[in-house]
Amino acid sequence: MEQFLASVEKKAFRMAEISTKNADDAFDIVQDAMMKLVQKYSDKPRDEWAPLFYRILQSRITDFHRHSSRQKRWLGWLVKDEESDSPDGYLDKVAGHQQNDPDHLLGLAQETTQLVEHLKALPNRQQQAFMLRAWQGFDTKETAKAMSCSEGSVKTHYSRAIHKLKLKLTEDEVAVS
Amino acid sequence: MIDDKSLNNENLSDEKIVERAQHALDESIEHLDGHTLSRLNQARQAALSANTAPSGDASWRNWQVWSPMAGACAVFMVVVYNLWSLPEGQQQALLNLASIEAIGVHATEESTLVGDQALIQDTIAFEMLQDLEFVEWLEMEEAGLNNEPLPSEGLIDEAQLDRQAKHTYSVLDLPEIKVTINVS
Repeated sequence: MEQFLASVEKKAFRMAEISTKNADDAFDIVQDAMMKLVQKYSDKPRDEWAPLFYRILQSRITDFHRHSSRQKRWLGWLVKDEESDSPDGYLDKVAGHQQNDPDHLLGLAQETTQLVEHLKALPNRQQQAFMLRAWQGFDTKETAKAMSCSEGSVKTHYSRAIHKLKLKLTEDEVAVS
Repeated sequence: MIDDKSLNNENLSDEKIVERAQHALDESIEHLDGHTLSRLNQARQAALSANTAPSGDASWRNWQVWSPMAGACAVFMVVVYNLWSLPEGQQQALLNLASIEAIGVHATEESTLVGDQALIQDTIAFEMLQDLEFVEWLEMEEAGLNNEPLPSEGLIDEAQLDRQAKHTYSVLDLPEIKVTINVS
């Protein structure tokens, strides 16, 4: 189990961080998902751990967004939305832990930064579908199970995510040239 | 890796997008700093330790919960038994003490008030005792029993004075106090 968790924790953290736009929330979500998996499903066959883990993770991320939207609905007029003032604020936050790491600064290409930004801009369900399929390598059925929705919905979310990313990357290339 | 069947449905451009995204995301986790890795490791260990606790974990937690309650029950039983085995007078005294302590400040104020009233009553009784002869005479006068002059008008023998004092105590419902009057 430890080996499995070690193999998925970085991806899980990055998925949660991209979705929540906050490292601390991402840590909480990942730890929560790990605990739930270990406590409830450690007796399941090993090949079921990954879909179960990502299902728990996506469920926690969805819960986070529901909670945030409720908070915004009721308290939005009290809290100033800092991110709306600064479109690059999220990238600064994501890079917050890594700003002092020269290796990271050297390794993080402009393309990577742009892509992460475009991923962040996607709606939550499109993000989930894209990252589970394109990055985690789940097929449509596994992704549907992890997202607790139908395979048709996964295909729709994934297709829309690809379309939007294509548009954004094309815009980037046009801007550079 | 990406499902081949799903990729077959996408055109080449889509495949490139997926490859670029994979590369970007892989790159982003390759360079996680030490602090992040440490926190992830801690989260993993916390999750595992929650599960690797002994199988009797639940019963241990139950024991932690129930043992103080069992101890409190045992102490309560001992107190009740000891109270039960005490003589009735001591039981009542202890119960009264407990009820006074339970009532707390209110009880303290009440008892202070009662004590004050008792002191005032004592003072009245004390003043009356100071002029005992007059009170005695007054009582006997009211009862029509007095055929004697006022004490100050003549000599009084000790036996008569003692008899009159006893009568006064009984009329006033006061505890009998031995008063010695030296008549010089």
